[in-house]
Amino acid sequence: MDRRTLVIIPAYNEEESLSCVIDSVHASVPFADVVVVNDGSVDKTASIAHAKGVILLDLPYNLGIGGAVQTGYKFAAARGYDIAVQVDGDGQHPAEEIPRLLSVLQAGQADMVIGSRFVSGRADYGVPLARLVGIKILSAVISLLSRQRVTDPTSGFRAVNRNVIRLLARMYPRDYPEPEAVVFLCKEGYSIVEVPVEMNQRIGGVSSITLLDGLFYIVKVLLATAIGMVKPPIGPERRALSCANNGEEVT
Amino acid sequence: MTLLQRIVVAAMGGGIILTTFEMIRRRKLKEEYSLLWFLTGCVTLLFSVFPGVLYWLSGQLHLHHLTTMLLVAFGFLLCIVLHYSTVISRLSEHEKELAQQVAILSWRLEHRGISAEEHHDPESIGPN
Repeated sequence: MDRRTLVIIPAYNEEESLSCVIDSVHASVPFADVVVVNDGSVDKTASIAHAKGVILLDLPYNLGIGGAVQTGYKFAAARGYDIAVQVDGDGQHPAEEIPRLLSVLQAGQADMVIGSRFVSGRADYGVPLARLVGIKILSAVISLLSRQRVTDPTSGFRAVNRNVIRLLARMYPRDYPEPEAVVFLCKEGYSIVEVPVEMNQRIGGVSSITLLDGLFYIVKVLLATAIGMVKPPIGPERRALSCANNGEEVT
Repeated sequence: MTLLQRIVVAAMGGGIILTTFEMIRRRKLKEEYSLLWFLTGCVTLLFSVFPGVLYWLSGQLHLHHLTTMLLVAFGFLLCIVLHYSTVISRLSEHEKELAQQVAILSWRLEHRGISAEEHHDPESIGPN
């Protein structure tokens, strides 16, 4: 494998599942480097990652999923990786499907490949009804806004190419980043393709979004994506405060 | 306005200006965050020294002159709070960048020796 691939695993208090996730990633894509971004966990997340011998980026305090994932993208951009794959630390993303995401990406069919629960109509993976409805609403609005069919905009199981790595290293939404990132990338002119995957029930821990937050989540994401549509395109790369730029010189 | 009202309003305006000035002098407040406070103090003082301005504005708005005062003060406070929101947004962006840099740099520090062998370009992280 001549293309350098980095698997980014954001992890916040994922001691129960992280070990399994790392093992299955190693088994599925042995050629890839793995980075665990420890988002200020208070459990054994860091020591598990350390014991597994993966690259461990320890955030000094909790930044939230967006900040953690972006740390991975900054690392990837700075070290000049060609492909970055995002896999949640909670074990719900099937690592054995990573090669399928990669093959679509490497065929040049898209700049970002999303592993979707719904693209083939297999919606019976055990998503609670309330969340299913929420995802459907988001999906409809985001597909409309981005003019591409996106069935699972909340899926954090993604692979992106070099250009997108460098863009996301500079600009990545912080709070509920997945749907916003989709709209943002479409707006910047990148193409997105979905690949059907079957996701697992999470191995341990709890989802970062509870049912009560659901409504707030949808309103906030819709607002953020709508505003995202009218934001001016981001300017040329700045040198200050970003370590991502050096990726250019690596080639 | 009665004389007493004018004195009270003048004291408020003067107080705001003097307090702001004193805080800048003691380096407790940066100049860039003080502009709106100075403006608030100056307008308050203006109303006290030239009540005609306040009467004219009140007439335009069909309000009692003290209500107009409150409205103006409220407007300034809104501006100040909005300004602080932008400052907080900027700071939180910087704070995020710093945390991310700390994570990446501390990894780099720990793996100084190894990274030169494992990766073809050990200099590729971060501006030096």
